[in-house]
Amino acid sequence: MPIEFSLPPEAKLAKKVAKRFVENELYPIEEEMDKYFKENPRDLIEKAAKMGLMGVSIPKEYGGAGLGEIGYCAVMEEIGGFSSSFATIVGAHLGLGTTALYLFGNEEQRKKYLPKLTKGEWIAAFGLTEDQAGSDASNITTTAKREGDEWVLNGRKIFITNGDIADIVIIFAMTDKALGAGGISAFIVETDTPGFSVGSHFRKMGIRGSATVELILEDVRVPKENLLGELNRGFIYGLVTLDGGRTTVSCGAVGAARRILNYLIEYANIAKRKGIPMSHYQTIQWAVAEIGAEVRAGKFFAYHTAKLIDEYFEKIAKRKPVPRPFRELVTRDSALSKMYCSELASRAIEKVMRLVGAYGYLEGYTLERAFRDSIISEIYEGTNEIQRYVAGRELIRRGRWFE
Amino acid sequence: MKIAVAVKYTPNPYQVKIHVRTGTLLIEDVEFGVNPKDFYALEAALRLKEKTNAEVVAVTVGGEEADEALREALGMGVDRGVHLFDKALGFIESAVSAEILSEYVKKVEKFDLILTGMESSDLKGGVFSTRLAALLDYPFAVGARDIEVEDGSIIVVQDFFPKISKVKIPLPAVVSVSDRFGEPRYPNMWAISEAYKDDKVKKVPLEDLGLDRGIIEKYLKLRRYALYSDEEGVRRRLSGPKDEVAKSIVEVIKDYL
Repeated sequence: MPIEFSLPPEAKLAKKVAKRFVENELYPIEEEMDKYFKENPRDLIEKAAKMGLMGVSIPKEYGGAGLGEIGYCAVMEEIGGFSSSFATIVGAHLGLGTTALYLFGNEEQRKKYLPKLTKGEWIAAFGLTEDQAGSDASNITTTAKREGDEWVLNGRKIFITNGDIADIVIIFAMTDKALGAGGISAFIVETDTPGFSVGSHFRKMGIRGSATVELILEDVRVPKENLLGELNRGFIYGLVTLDGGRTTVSCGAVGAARRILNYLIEYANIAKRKGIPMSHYQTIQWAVAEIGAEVRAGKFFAYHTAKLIDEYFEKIAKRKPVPRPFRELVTRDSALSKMYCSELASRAIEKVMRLVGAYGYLEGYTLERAFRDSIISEIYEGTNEIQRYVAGRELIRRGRWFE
Repeated sequence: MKIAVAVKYTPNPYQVKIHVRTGTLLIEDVEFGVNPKDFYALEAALRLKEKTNAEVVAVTVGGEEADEALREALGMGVDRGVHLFDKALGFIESAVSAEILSEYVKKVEKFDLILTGMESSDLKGGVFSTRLAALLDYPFAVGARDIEVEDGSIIVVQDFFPKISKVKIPLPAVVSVSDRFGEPRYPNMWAISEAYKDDKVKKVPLEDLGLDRGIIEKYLKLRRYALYSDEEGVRRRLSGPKDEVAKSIVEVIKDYL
């Protein structure tokens, strides 16, 4: 169990640079991005790609920056802390689509797609969720049937981040219905394949700078080489990829809570009530202390999980055996840290909203937007209810807390 | 062609606090980084590198922590870093850093072109490049918004806003780069992941240059820091012949101390 939490110097520097990127590029358009409903901010993606942010975790041999999951999380703490919208775009591209391809793709697939994806020339998306298969991901109805040297895909995917601009989508489809979850396979689908189309755009309460769309697959024919990894292993691939995705969500949520804590401190030092600075009131001091403690705890938890994911993914990518207790530890901690961090952020934001009064409720102000944006962290990459279910059930089954 | 870029590791001036009674700086928790105006000099050097295939070396004078400024420069794409180092080199003014850098250039490594930013965000002297050029006896141009290399010399477009002027000077030379040169690039993740490799930065202790810590207080002895005030009445405008203005400034400072 790692107890040393200092980041490697490269990750620290990457984090600092990401912070500058956020301040210079995201801050000025924060409000504008909140008004988008339909399109992803392409020029912003291009700028991030030029800096190597779109492939920060993937090893150098595939065109990435090779900073691993820890470097990726450090960067996402800054990006997610400021703009859940942009963090969602990066997360769906790198953390889900690209990482799934890196972890489970064979050497040809990696060489063919990763250099374009890590440089941000191509954008990836992750097509798992369906109308009747969200938390119950094994219930998907999209099918893939083998016809000669091709797979023919049919079905609909919903709530797909980046779906509108993606060049490839990892599509999860049923290849053997009788096997249930064990009959799901993952496919690399290039979005210019005939039969592939983008359906409706979903309007959302928050993260409006990131487009969320429906994908429609009608007789989409992909070559047999585009089966990701092995047949009927798709469900596991999805779950493992999401273990990693959740960790960056945790880091982003901690970043958001930290931003709001700083907002409160700054506000309380300036604003006065009855002629006394707000910071002199115990209510404010207690809130600052409570949020501060949670941010601290959440950060430790999130980076502890990042370290585990880093080891876990390295083992998987190099096809080394992963001992079962380690795999369970990763899944459990990834579930618990995402649950804890996303909720601590929402808690902190709600508390601060109440303390600053009407300014917390005004449209276009930091707090109101942060409030709407933070809720999604409790929902995506597996709802917090599912995380509770996974971790709680396992702990009870074991008979005791695992340490 | 070999280009040096002088970079300074500076605190974010908006975060620095001054203790009113003791006149000391409170800099715990202050974020440090490459002096913002030095980014333009780095950008200028990297654009010249793209055009002429020059080698670009980032040089800093400072304590242990200044190393980070070089790593950030490496992240932007410079080839290597030189750290002129002593533990005691914390807040130093430009006369000291210019002398240390000039000794390095005289004794260890020559450059064809030395680029600097216009001023540092902490002390805002704006005279480092002038001092350096004087100490090295190099030709000097100020406020470059464009630099072109032409066999053995450079053409510098100088930015004296709103006017511009063109000047041709022979190499080796010292040039300070204007913040209207062009938007500096961000460090990129690929270079950042290589930036902390051991062989990227050469650490040169003061003794190796034949200098000692005495140099730090050779020009200027720091007594205390104080806040400058925007309030009317506190602020005064001095006018008249330069000599007299200088004398009045000295009087004002003496009063203050």
